[in-house]
Amino acid sequence: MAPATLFDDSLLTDTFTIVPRLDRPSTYKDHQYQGSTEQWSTDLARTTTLYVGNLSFYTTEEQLYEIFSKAGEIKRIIMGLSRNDKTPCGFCFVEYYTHENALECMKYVNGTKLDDRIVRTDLDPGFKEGRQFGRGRSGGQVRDEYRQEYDEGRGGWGHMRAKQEEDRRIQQEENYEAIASVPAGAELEINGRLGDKHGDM
Amino acid sequence: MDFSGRVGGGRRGGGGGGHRNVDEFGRERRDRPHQRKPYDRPARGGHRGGHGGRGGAHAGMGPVGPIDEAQEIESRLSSLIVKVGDKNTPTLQNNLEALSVVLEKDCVKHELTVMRTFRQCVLELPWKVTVYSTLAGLLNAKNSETGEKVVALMHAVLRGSLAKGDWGSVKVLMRFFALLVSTNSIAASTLIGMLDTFLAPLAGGSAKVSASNNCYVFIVLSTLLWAGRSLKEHAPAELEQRLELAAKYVQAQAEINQGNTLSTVFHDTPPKGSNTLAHLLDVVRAVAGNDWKVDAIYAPFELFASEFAQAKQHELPALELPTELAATAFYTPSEFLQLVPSPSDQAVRKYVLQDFIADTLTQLEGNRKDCGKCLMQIHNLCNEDVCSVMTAVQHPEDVDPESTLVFEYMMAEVLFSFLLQLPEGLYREMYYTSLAIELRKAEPVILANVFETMVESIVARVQFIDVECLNRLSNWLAVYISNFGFQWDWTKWESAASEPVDSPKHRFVQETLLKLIRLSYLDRVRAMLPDSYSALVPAKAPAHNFKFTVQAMDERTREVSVAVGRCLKSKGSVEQALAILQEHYSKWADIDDDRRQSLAREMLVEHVLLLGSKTFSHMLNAIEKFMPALQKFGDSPEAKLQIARVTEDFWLGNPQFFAITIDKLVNYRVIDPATVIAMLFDDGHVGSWSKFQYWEILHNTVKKVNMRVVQLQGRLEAAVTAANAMADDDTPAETQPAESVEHVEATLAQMVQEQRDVVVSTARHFARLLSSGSGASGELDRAWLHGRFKEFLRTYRIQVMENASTLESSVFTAEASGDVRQAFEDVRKLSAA
Repeated sequence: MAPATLFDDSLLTDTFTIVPRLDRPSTYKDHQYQGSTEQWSTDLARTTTLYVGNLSFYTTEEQLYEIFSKAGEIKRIIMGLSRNDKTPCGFCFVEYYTHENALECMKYVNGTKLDDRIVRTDLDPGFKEGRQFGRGRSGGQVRDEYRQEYDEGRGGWGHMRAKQEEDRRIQQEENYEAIASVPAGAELEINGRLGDKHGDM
Repeated sequence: MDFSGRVGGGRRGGGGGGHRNVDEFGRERRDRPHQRKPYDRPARGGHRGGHGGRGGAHAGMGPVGPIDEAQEIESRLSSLIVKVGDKNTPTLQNNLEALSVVLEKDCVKHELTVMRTFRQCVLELPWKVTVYSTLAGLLNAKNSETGEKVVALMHAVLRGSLAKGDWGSVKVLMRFFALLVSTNSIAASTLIGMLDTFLAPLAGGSAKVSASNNCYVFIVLSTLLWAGRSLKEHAPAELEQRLELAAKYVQAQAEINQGNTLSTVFHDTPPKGSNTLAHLLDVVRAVAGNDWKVDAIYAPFELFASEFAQAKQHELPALELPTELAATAFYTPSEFLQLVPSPSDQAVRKYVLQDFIADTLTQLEGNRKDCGKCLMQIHNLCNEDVCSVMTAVQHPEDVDPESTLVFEYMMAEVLFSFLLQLPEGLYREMYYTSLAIELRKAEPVILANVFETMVESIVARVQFIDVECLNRLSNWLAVYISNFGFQWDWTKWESAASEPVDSPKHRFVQETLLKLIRLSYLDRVRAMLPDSYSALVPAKAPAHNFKFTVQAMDERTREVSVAVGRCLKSKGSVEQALAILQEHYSKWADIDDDRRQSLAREMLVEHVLLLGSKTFSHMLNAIEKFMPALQKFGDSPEAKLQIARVTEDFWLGNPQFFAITIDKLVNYRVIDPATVIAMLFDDGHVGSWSKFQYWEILHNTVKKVNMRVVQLQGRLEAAVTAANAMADDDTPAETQPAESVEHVEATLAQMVQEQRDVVVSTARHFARLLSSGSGASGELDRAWLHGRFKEFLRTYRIQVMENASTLESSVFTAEASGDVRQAFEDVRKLSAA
């Protein structure tokens, strides 16, 4: 009979795994969360809500419902909106009825595609009024403020880049507006063999 | 396998000692930050204490002392244990020997890490059981104290898994112990003792066939498959006797299930292996006939026989079977469906490998991404020429499944077997979908072909497949396709359009397209379809069907509608809306009160639905706001039914919104589960039983009722505990007063009654429609209905059996048609088995 003291008792209670589980909290954190780090962890340990990111601005609640209900019945969906024009700006909160469903969503839905985009989900302590709005300076999400790549599903260029692009466009426009007519080009008499001489073909 | 990021802690980019940066499939890994997630998180637990930083941040970033050094060593040890035996290579024998020397030396200093890692390797990498049992044996042979610790730990883990009913782990651990006999770490008699614990309920040979006994016999046979060789040598009589006992049970179980097709996936062939236990017994007997040789996987312990001969055997405490687990908490082994041809003389090897694949699927369910990577590793440990691997050959299209076992096909077969498992799968359908997505992401071309072959093979048997399984395949396929740019070869199924609308193929293709539209939008789906598909997709995008604009109406109706519409649009209150209805309809002297009430009800529901028709949130807002009025209008079963029917009519062009709205109306208690059942089985639906949408709603409703009962049971338990605590405590606690036990009990009783009503009335509707000539529009329509009936019976078999006597005396009577009564008999047997 092997006595129980042969090995450290913690070996029967620790939650160590070689392969990390997907239903554990990631490094995601709401920067305006009021509580402590411990409180954040306790909240996540029983939450029924997920923050969902990287959505197309055109993705509808019904599309979200369809894919997220694969992990359980959905209590509500709160669409993330641009502060200024109140249109979807690429994120949302999905709330289930149970914590288990939220975990199953982390395991099975997080990282799959919706509208050709990889959906990113994170456990979230829960929706609070005001969190449905983007926190970027232009009303949308902060990430869209600085994004340098063109993203058709998220309104094209990032806001800063869009502004730069717009400035460039305006400058170009002003430049060209100044030209009232197409120049004819100077007529020169060089025996008509200009092309040959320069050989710039 | 490159676990270095996971376990080794952060050698990446920091002088990994010539370690080539390749991924799990041996390809160069591009070192981009976004590609490091999530596998490269710093090891948790591999380090003792709160070492929080990224593993790579060591040198120069803090005091380099003995602690960091110890951590370094520990992460390297872990990494070695995890990686050993990833491949069947000539050096494996030496590697194992070397590792056992290192571990034996370091085990004292780094015991916790070594033991913890070893424990998880056995649990999480089940296909490497031959490697880890050999390693344990070598440790034991070198130092019996260390060996004893390992054996005792794993046995304690087994006892814990058994108590929890974690059958996946129990199975994997029993196989580990089976092989420990081969390494002489435990005696054959010790293993026999362990097996006898599982066989105890069978003793005497006249055991009742039950879920728990099925599970126990499955574990015993799975263990014998691997234990046979050493037991044959050391305890042949005992082995024979245990096998006999198990075989007797399997026979009894097979007799009970004879002809029971309630849980059969395909009905075209005599269900081969649909009796999983009988199939496993065949495999075990075949192995026994081959001198108990299991030759699919490399078995290194055979190479260390002389070393093991000197080892010490350890005694183990007795195992205990769980006593308080519900019948549903037992493992239902999945049969492996044959979806592509395979050489019949390779059946044993195929089973062994598919068994490993299944165990890996089960044990790594917490991380489908790494599970996918691990699955693709399993064949690396195979003996030479056991199977072909398409992803490892130059011309995968030349691999012939009829002449050789093809690893990818075997893997996909297991995945689909799990997806289609009846009565229910171990996990949510979505697990198998997202796992397939991960697998294909890793091997885009080959696995795309493999999965397409699988789907084609199932669809080729579409007339014979169980209705629920076809529904699951459709769900799977829609999400799968939507994850790969909506690419699919639709031309293959063009013939479906010309088949009758309720033919299995037409319906399957159409429902899959409808799901795809839900996941994206109509134009997107239409754009990818050949012209011949126009009949299979709706002409218009999903939309509502608001009655008071589409229908001609008389002047006074228009007046009410305009007034109500204006009120709701300008955010008028519930009272205002009710007042408007009252004001208008009270003037209608030519109709009676009931009729007026009914018209007002319809008017309000139509307008509330219209108010909420924009999005799911709008819908919730509208129902929430008008809940008091809706509840007031739904004052009788008939009134509730009218609300449900108006809802159906309003969302005729949008089945998804129809289902969600009904679901939420039940949640807000505007209508009852009974209302939904009455609405679904309306005679107006005869001829449409093939549509998936009704059954989605039926499941939502029955599951909700069951869930409410479970939740109330939990609340009752909490209330009783709280009450007892109060009674024990002399000083009245300052804690919140718990719910009164009587109150919860009363609510629970009411809910249980509701559950009973739902089950009985659903069964009654099914029996009525299936037993009457007018319950279906034709043979196909009836086949769908019958398929859904079987689905209902087996999915809710617990609730069905709880009401068996009522059902027997008032529903499944002599008047019910033969196949209805047969299905009821079958569910009775299924519940007993």
